Amino acid sequence: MTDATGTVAPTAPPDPGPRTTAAPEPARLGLAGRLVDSQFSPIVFTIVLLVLLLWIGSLVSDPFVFPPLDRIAGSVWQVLTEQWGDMALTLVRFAAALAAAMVFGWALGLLMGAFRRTIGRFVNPLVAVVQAVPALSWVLLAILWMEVVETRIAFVTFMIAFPFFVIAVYEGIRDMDKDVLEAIEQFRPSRLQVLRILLLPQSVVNVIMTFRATAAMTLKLMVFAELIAADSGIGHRLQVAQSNFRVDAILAWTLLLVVANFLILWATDRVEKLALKWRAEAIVR
Amino acid sequence: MNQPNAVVTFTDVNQRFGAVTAVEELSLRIGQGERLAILGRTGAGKSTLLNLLIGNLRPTRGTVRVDGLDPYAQHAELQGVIGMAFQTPRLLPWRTALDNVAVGMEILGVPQSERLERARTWLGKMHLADSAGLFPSQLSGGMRQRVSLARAFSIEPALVLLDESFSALDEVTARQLREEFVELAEAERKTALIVTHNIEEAFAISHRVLLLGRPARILAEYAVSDCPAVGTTDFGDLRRSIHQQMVDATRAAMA
Repeated sequence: MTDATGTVAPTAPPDPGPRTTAAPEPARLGLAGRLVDSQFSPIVFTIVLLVLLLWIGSLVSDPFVFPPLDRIAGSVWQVLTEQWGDMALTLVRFAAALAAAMVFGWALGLLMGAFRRTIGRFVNPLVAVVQAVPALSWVLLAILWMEVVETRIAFVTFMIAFPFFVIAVYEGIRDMDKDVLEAIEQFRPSRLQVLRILLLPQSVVNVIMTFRATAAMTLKLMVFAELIAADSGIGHRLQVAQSNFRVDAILAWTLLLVVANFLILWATDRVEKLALKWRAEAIVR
Repeated sequence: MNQPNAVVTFTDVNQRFGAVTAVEELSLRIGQGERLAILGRTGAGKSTLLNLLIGNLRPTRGTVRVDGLDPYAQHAELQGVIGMAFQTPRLLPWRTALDNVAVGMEILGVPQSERLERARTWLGKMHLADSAGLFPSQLSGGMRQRVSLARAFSIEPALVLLDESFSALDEVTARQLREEFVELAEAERKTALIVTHNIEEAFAISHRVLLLGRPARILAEYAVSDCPAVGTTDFGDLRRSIHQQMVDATRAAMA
């Protein structure tokens, strides 16, 4: 092999090729070790502990304050068979409002990032003001401003959630790797091409992370909004249960909300794994 | 200074940033199919020259022309004329190797089937045909740099710019890539400007080497065909002489 000047160069060894990560040989574990190592063990442990605490609570206190397990289970069953419509209504409201907040926030964040000197500079303080308004203020204003319950709930949820998406996408673009931008700009793309080829795919990470971080909070705030401003949904049912001194019903709804939160996080995890499969995750040993 | 077949000309170019002079009375030309290496230490204004060439900067004085066009004022007209590979690969992490190579063609409006076919061809030339579907995080440093070179070449530019493109790699991989670059540049008759601080690299991959002082002005010019071959004892003497000139130029600039 000769180089450009005709000098004989030593033969280069082949490139090491694609990176592969060899999985370490799993150590042989006993039954107890396998139980501790199982991915389901922490979940089972948490459920058992919670049931145990509820049972002990019902033993040591008045059933009116801490109902027995069978009554809580009965309430869960009642919710699932007779009041599932309220649960479905809350989840539909949640999905619609969060999707609207995500799409609007994503689009606005991209526009702010692509036109930073104009739209970005002027809209950023407005978004910061919207984000600083307390959730309770949005709820009270929605009651006074709007008659239709669905509009109130959608408005409150949207106003709470969308600034998080805008700020995440905008800041993500501001923190973008300038070197990568320079590499793309060598081909002299239009502003629209930069948006489509670079900014939009890059912001997917920020949107998914924001969704993960805000989904649980948004659901809780939405139930809170329903409690004050709606005559249907989980929040309304909680308000009715509280009026009727039904601690068992409150616990049943709470339990279902916790399960819904876990399912939302699980679904987000699946979407994240699919959409961000290109990422190399660092594992701290 | 301008020649009919020159792809690049710098004529009496001065570039100042406030009180700092980055380029001083620089004139040079790169002919069709010629590979010119610019050698200089850090701060010698090498990157400023590239920025002038790709139209990111307008010279304070003098003119820069690529194919007779002003890269700053006629930015859009030069679309597809220049392909550049950087010190680091700068790939889009969410795109596969194939889609990274195709990104330049996508911006230039090449139809999808054609650009994917061309991207596959270029990956093949870079010995990466089997890695087309891998993401940058799954490639080694050398493979990523090959993808970056394929991206620059695939738009079939009249002018290829290399900005310290092999300096972040280990010597064995860098040597291998240099050889592949020379083969491709020869086969495609590419005009190229190679910016480097590596003396051996400059002489190994170019036809002509310009040694820059600080601020950027030509200290010496070498026709590679008239110089001793890289690796020989005589080249060692030349290397020491060039190195001393670089050190002296840096000292003079700091004095």
